[in-house]
Amino acid sequence: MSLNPETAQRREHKMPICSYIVYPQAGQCVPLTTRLNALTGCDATAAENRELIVLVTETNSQAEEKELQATLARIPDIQCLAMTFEQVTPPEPEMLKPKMNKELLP
Amino acid sequence: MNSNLITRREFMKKTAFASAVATAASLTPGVTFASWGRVDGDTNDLQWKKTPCRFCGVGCGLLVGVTQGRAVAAKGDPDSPVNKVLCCAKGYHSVLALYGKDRIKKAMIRKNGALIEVPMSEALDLVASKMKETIDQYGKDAVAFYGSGQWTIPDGYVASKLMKGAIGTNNLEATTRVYAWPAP
Repeated sequence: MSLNPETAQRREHKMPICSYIVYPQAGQCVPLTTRLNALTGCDATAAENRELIVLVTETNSQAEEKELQATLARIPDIQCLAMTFEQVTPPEPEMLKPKMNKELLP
Repeated sequence: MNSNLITRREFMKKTAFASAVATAASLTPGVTFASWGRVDGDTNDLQWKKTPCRFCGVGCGLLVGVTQGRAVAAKGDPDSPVNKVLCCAKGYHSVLALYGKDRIKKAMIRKNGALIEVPMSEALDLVASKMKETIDQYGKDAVAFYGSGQWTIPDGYVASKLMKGAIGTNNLEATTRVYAWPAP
């Protein structure tokens, strides 16, 4: 199903927020955390045991998010990248209207 | 407007982080991310102050969140070698003890069946006279001193001097050591 241009444009500009679990290569947790934090829109937090990293990304569009994912995929110190969260599409204006349940009305 | 409010974007980012941490915890039990939110003033005017937990004698490190002169939250100090970020239930809820409605803040003496607020000197004089009366009648070991879990080290030192040095008995104990007992 194709979206009308206005809806497509709105979704394109929804500014995604995602989170990932990042498994670094052995011994690379700290430098990888530093490298990820240097990327625009990335907020990386290493676990206390230095075995994995939680990465939260915030980008300006879905295209930018995909570009960032491609960048992450090219980092050799990342052994595995697993997405755990992605912000859902903001509800359309018509979805915000309260739905009346006629059976409950007097 | 409440200065502690966060934007929708900030809320979504914290939710995203929490989601990843929950997943990580299920995959790797015991994993912690204590460094997140360690920065002072992370949530507007909320500041995290270091302190030892006062609920028992273990000495866990706490970070107490303070805003507008009032303690509002507590979490384990990730830099503490004692508890390494974790706390027990009493530690996590220790802030509540500060503002308990039944917290005794002033000296009180029961007179005619009712507790009456009195000056501290009057309460201490009553305790001293009762202790002297008991010691004269039954000996030094007939009296005891039970202290609070919120004692400081100097508090305990002075109490020890009083009971062992001045009174002459070893009957001295406190919630500080009797860990599982409820703190007064």
